[in-house]
Amino acid sequence: MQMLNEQQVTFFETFGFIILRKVFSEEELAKMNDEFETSLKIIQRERPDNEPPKHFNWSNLGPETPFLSLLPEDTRICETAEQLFSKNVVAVSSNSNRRVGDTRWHTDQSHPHSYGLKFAAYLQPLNSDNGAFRVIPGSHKQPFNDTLKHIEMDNPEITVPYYSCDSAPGDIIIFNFATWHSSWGGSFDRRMCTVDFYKNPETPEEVEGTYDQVIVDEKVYANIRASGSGFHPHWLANANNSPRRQRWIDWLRKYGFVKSEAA
Amino acid sequence: MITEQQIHQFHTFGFLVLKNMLNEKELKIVNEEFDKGLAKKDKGELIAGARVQLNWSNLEPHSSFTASLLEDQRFYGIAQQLWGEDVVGKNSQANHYAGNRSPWHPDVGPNVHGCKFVFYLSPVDADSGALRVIPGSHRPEFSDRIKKVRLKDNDPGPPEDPGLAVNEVPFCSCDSQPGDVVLFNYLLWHASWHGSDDRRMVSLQYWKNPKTPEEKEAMAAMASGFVKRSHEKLTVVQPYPEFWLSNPENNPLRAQWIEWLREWGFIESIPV
Repeated sequence: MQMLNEQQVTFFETFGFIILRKVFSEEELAKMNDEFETSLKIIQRERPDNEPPKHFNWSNLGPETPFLSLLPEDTRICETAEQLFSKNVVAVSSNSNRRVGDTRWHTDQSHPHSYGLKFAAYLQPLNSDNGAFRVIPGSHKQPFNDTLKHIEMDNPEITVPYYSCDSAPGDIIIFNFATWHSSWGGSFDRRMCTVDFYKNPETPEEVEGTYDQVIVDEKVYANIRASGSGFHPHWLANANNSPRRQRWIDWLRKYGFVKSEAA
Repeated sequence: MITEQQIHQFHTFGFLVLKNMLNEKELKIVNEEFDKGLAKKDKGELIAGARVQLNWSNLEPHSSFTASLLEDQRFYGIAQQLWGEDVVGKNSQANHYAGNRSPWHPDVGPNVHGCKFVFYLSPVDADSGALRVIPGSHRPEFSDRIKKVRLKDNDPGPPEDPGLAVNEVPFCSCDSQPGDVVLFNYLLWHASWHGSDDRRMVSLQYWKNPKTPEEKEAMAAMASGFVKRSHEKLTVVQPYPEFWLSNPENNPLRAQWIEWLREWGFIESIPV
């Protein structure tokens, strides 16, 4: 069964994002919150007491977060990703983020030929005034995408027009990596769980973009990751012999996202 | 006048919100002239549909101030900054809306360039009929993609999947107070939602003088459609009021525009 109807796919392709309402049940949200809280406590225990609130990112692919580690394989997630990109998309992360304050305008695309999409589930109700995800609709496509690189987005004299993806716990926002997004007015404890998918490269440029992504991911996570590797041995062991997960692991090894010593 | 940064912003996103362009005294006159225009307007010329709109030209003797804004440097000067020295004043119009929404649309087809300054005579926001826009949708490639999205008011699908309502399309709301002006590219997709049944808006419209063969062809097509629509919709024989065309004060700028409008066929004498 297809997760999205034709109109929803057209919406995503046109505007570069879509909001799916009430994807997670109350019971599932309780698990997500518990696992998030447990991980955050562990991370904070290891930090100095007087450290100001900070943005933390950590991988959920370990055994201590069983519900979140399975999100990439949740058919509501992976089959939607397959529908939006192709059957060959690869899940590359299930992360938690504790965000602090504003996030400036940016895209998640690191290379012009590296493509992917992100599923983001916020654990608190958010609107445009308290840190909801803001997008510039249609900005994932060229030439609009490039034009925005020449706007001084952070200049206070510039009013960047946006659409606020107001969301409630249980909703998922899916967006193309290339879509320009930001968040403003958020608290010092904004909680978000994400699952990322990369498109399987099909052209020489896309292959180059994928290798480039390996380097970028290493740099990004070196700066923001609170603990450990993104790919926990527990997840890489694939104890249930999931063919889909195995395909992803093989792909991640092939391109160097998973180093041999991580296995 | 607007800054280089604002010009860049306009061309990037297709619109700008300009605060406090008209003062209290000017607004009072515009409101009085609007009332006079509405009183004179033949209510049989209602444009029905979701908008429930009446519109009329301000280029009449009873709205001389609102008409003069078209030639006012605060507006005309900005239009020149955006489209060149030879930009052409097209119209000053008043609009009364009694419907609760305006469906999504751009004002013109490809290769016709120009802009519209609109100002609402009461405060409006996203939930009370403010102009809402899709930033960047004046770009042809983006506009073409939006045309593929099923919109309930424009091209409704079957009952189980009628398409998106006006408020389901991602937008940026151009909230405004009386005196503020929203300036947008004709090609930008725009709409409004949850407006009152007495929403009042004035617009000043400018055309870029077409330069390329594509622009000239599009303008010629626009001119023929303009005259045709005018004949169909209105009971007057000319789309432009005689008063304005007579240019009683011999305004050289207006004379230049009238000549341009005649050359392109926007003004056409029709036997009664």
